Amino acid sequence: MDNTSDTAPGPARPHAMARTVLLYLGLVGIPALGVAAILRAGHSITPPISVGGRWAIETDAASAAAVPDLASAADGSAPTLVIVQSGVRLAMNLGESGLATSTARLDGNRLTAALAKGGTAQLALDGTVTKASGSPRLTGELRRLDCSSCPGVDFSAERVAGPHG
Amino acid sequence: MHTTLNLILQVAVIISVARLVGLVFRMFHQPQVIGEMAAGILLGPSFLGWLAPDWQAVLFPPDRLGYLHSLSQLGVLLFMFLVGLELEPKHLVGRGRTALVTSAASIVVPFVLGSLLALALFHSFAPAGARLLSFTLFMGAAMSVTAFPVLARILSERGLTRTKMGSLAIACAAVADVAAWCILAAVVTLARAEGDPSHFGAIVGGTAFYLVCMLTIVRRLARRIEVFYRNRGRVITQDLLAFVLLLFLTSAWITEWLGIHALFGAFLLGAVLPKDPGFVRALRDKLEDLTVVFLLPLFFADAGLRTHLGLLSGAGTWLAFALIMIVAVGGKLGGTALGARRMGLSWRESTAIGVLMNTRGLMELVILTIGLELGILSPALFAMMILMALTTTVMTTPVLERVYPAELIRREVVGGPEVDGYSILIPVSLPSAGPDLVHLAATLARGSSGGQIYALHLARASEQSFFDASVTPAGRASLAPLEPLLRAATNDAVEVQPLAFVSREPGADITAVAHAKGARLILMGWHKPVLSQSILGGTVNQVMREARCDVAVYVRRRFEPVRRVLVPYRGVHDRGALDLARRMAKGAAAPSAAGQQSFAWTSPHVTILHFVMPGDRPVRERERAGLRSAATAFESEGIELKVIETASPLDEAVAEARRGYDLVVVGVSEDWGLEPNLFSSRHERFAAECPASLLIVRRYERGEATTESIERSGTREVHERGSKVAPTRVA
Repeated sequence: MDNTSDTAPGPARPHAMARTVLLYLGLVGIPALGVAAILRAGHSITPPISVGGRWAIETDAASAAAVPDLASAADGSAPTLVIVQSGVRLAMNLGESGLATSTARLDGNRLTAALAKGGTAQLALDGTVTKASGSPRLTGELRRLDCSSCPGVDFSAERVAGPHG
Repeated sequence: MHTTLNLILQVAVIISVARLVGLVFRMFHQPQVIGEMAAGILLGPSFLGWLAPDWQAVLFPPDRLGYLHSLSQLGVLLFMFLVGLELEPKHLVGRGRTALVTSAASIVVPFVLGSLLALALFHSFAPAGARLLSFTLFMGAAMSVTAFPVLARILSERGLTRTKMGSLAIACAAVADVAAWCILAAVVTLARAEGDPSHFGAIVGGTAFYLVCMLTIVRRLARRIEVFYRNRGRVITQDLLAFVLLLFLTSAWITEWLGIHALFGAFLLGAVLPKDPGFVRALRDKLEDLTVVFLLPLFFADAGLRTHLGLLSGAGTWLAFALIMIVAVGGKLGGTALGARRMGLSWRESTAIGVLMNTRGLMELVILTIGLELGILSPALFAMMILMALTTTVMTTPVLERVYPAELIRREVVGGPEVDGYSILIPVSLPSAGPDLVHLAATLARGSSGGQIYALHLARASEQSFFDASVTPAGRASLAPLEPLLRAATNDAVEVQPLAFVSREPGADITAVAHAKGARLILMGWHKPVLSQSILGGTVNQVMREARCDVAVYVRRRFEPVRRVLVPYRGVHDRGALDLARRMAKGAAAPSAAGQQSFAWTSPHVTILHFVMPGDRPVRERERAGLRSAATAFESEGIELKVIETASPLDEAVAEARRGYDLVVVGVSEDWGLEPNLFSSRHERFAAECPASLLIVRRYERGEATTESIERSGTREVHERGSKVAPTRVA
């Protein structure tokens, strides 16, 4: 009787076992090396800094007068800027003013944005995020886009709540 | 609004919307769970918040979402416990090199491509402070996952569980799921350790100790649970249920405390519990409905409330989404298909397995939620990945239909014609109707040689459990409705081949199976429908319209043995009835396989009532001449032929049927008010007035002259086989 079937005992088994082990090593080991290579290639890539959360904008009477949206955003207290961050992409809302992001971008620690109401861009924000000690601060300039002759107003804001509340 | 009132309102709205959207998705042949996932997004800021922000603020105020979140977490924990419970170790091993290579390819290719994608997305879409290692591994794991329960459901609904491709897909999905969860556990550990080696070491050490405990102490305990379950008459008592739930909560608590997620504890406990099918089914029955109907929609809503599709704006974002889709589909579908093809499967089968493995569904949602909570995913990336999960799951059914059409599946599941003879297919929806139908079929088939009787039960897709893949050998559970029929067949020494699978369109599947098996007659039972009075409506109507063979519907009215059979004959539409009655007479005369006739259809006396319209003298004279020879032929078969000249054959037929007949065999024709016309006022008058049981027959014309009369029919052998076929218009 022919004994060379699939169930044949003896020397066939170690070969099959070795093939399976090699196959497994190939299927797991090579991809693992691939992932290691990917991680090595990306070791210099850094994630963006954190700007998500709620920022309290510190204003004075002069700046509030120059940028009416700041006054309307204040609602009796310091106007707040809420930022939802997804990497370098930002979604922003300025307090109760109804101004929301038209375009916004985070480049390193520089934050630039145009805030719009009803589809019309009204306010430009250009700031820099710094973190010395304590909460991060955003300092820069707010400028009305609907008034080319109006001067920009310097502002400073402190993050009062992080992205998770 | 008070917190409790708010929570009750939230739950009520979520469940209502989930069921409603799920129903809509089911209408489009999509699994209900996909609709429920979409419902979650609809209730979130992406739709309700955009459409009616005030309503959303009242219904889901941000400071009142805590209870909803807790309930949703309990739901997803129970779900993962059930997934673990349904995990069959035999799915993971023993399927050979094909399963090993295919499942490895289905994990490795999307994992590596996902890792590469992570590199491209890290700078622009990773959340602030994310670590490349966690982000890369997470994206790899998220791309590798397959929604085992959804895949099982799709396989079950399409009747694929009994195909080679289906069982391979189940094996691959089980392996992929376990692998993806292991990778995710590593990612969670890395993310929570936050680069602190001692913290990382503590988590790994604790997890290893926990695993050892689960595989030794808890597994031994699980065996005792199994013994306890068997000793208590195979019933899960409330005490036993409470004990299992306590184990579940303890396991989930420990893994959460250790720093890997609570979900792993829930899943692992389910996996180590006994796999006795009765125990698994009983425990599943106790927990599944509450979990799937009540708690999981809360999880979908909780995820939906955190999904901001509005963040997907700008060309860069949509380009990133397109990349995600390409990697997700290309990696999972392509990787699996290549692996399967490498192992010798056909391109069609390989692609179909790839399509199935590309189903991500709920499991992806669970993984993504963990990623968002751990700060590995940013809100925009979370929204993109949710969209990807929904898209890949929704595309599964239609793409699979194109790659592996239902006709092919049926051919593989049902097989081709096995015999060349008078074969009969008996679709059984009501188990109690089975014995009568098999008796009748045996009588009809007895006069011929070489035929086969097939009993078919089609379980509706909605009857299936969420987790039930019916992967038990030959789908035994689904044969249960055929048992009364099979018992009757065994008693009568009649050979019957049972067939059973899950069907979304029973009418189409019945006709397809009849065609595949070369059946000459589909014999259906009838029971009063819930919503309609019509005998020839619904599935029966569809089968009558579409079947490429004769169809007979048996309406049982009398429970006495059938001794007298009446065939009212008016014209060509009744020829099918006449043929069957002649078969009945012939079959009753022939001995059974057991050498004796043990059932009710012993030796029925058949009477043909032939109606001739008065007034049309030339036609009548010609018919009379032919009838004389037909009568002689019928007489030799033991059939009585009565000729009645009347203008109202329906009244005469009803009057004759009242004279002690047990069964009336009648054709589907306007003469008897039986044409299945939905809006006819005369609809089914004969059926309503006839006191005897009815066998309503629609004959399938095989390209013969439809004007053939009873005179010719009397001397002709029925059912020439092999001629070209063309459907007869029924209505």
